[in-house]
Amino acid sequence: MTAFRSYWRVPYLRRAALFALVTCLGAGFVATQLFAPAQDTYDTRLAQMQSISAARAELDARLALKDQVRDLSADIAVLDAKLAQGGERSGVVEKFAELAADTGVRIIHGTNRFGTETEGISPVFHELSVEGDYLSTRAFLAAAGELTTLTLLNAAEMTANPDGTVIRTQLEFVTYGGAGQ
Amino acid sequence: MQVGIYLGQKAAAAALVQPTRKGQTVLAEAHQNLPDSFWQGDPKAITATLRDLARALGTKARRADVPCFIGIPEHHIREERIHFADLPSSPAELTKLIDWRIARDYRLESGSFALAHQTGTRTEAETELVVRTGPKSLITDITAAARKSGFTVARVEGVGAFLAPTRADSNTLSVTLHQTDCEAISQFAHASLPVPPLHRETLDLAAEGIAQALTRMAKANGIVTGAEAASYTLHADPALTEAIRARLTTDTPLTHHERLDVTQLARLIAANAQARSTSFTPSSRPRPKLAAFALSLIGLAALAAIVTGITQTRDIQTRTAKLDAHIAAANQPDPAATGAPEITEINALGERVTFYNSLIGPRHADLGTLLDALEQALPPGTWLRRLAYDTARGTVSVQVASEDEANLAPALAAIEATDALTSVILDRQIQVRSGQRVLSQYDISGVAK
Repeated sequence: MTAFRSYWRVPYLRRAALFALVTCLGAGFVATQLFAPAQDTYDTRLAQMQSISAARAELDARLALKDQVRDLSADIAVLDAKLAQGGERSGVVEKFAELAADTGVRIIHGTNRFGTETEGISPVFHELSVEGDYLSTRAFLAAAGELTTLTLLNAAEMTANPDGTVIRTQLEFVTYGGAGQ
Repeated sequence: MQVGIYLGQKAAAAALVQPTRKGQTVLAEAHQNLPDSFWQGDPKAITATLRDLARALGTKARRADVPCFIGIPEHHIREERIHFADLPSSPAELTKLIDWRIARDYRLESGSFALAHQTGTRTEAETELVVRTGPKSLITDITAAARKSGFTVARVEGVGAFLAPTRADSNTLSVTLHQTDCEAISQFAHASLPVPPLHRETLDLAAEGIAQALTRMAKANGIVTGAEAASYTLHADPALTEAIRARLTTDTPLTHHERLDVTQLARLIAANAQARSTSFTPSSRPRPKLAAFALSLIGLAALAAIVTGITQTRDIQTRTAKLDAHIAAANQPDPAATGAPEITEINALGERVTFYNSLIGPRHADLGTLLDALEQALPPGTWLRRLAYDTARGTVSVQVASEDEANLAPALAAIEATDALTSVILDRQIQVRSGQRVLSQYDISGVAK
């Protein structure tokens, strides 16, 4: 304590100590009362801005999908409607017969069999052999695609006679029916 | 400023001196009678004496930048002249050698004495060292007490005077009073004394006369008398010195006149302190200028931190204001954002798509699209004889026929160019007979998109 007093009594040393003390206190005040709150506010605002930017980017992404979602929703609605029609075998066979009659082709052979049920959906496989001219055959295929049931063409083999007037077409269809998901 | 303290046999005095261009100015003085226990090494007496002196001098004398020089009577200091044939160059080895010689030649425990100073003259034959030592415990106590009292002790030294008689003529002795120090000698007073002839036969008579003359001279010069004078050393004939010393040794109580003398000694100590060399220098000296420099550096660094902090704070506040503006703009409702599909809707749709993809499996272009593409691609004079298509794998196999084989190459090129097929390759080209006709046929395969 005596040594401290002897130092403190030196005027220039006292002034230097006071200068150091005041400036250190000032630095502490600036650091804790000015800089730190300003930095905290900035960090908060920056986090807020980043959150808004992320939300905006997510909204833009959803907006970009707007048309696709609309089209896809319509497609899914059609599929759902077709799936809801069910795939009763006798009904589908009857439909094929009507289509053949309407389009001018002859069903010369046809077999049906059940597939493995998956998630409540029972597929029915149809193998048809139809004969007709090219335009009739195409009309039959187009009409098959318009069926109200979810009937899809898996494979086709078209063979023309030597003069090309008669087309024999072997078709493999599948019809899905059931409650779905 | 500097402080000089003289601790005499019966009294002590202190002076605070401010050096000036013309000499020095005495700013404060203090005087204190010493109790008998002081020189018996009573720490309380030493502390009390120095504390009273410090209080009397005021606070200026107790500053870290005011060195304090303390003088003690010369007779407390032992001075020996030791001759060495050779000296070690290392200071540490030299100190050990001196300690050893002191212990051997003077039967003194070196630890009980504070080694004060050494110097010497070197000749070809030997080197002479002047070793000044003082009682270690006493010097340590005085130093500690002075520090406790607030003094910044720079040196403790032996102060006295010695007479250097020179025989100028048969009946005059020139006497000079010096402040003793090994390296520097400050002249205090000078006088020429009429004395009887200094003959060995009349030693006692001469000593008596010199002692009386010294006393008169000392009083006349206002320096020291009585017991102080007893500590003088005559650097003359040893026998004469002893004779004079015996006559000067008195136990006369101090008078007012003597007090003034002690005070003057303290003043002289302070005034001449800087000119003398160091002896009994304390191990650690205050360095107020260094401390002030360090504190100033700290202060400047803190000032720089303040400026930097304020600048950065303003910069951060500016950036915060910009962010606030951006946030306010971003929070405005966007008309274009209406109608965006919700995440739940997209997720539900995705699940439905996944369901149908797993149910139906991979599928390529429908047969109608494929037939349309082939109708567009086939040139006149060519026709399809057969077509096989697997919608799951996308494999397409066609047989294109023509009566003129030249038509088939363009047909193949056209099929390759169509957008509906990839990986188109000619599997086979053959001649087939159809009734009376011979047809050229290309078997082509590819993969529907």
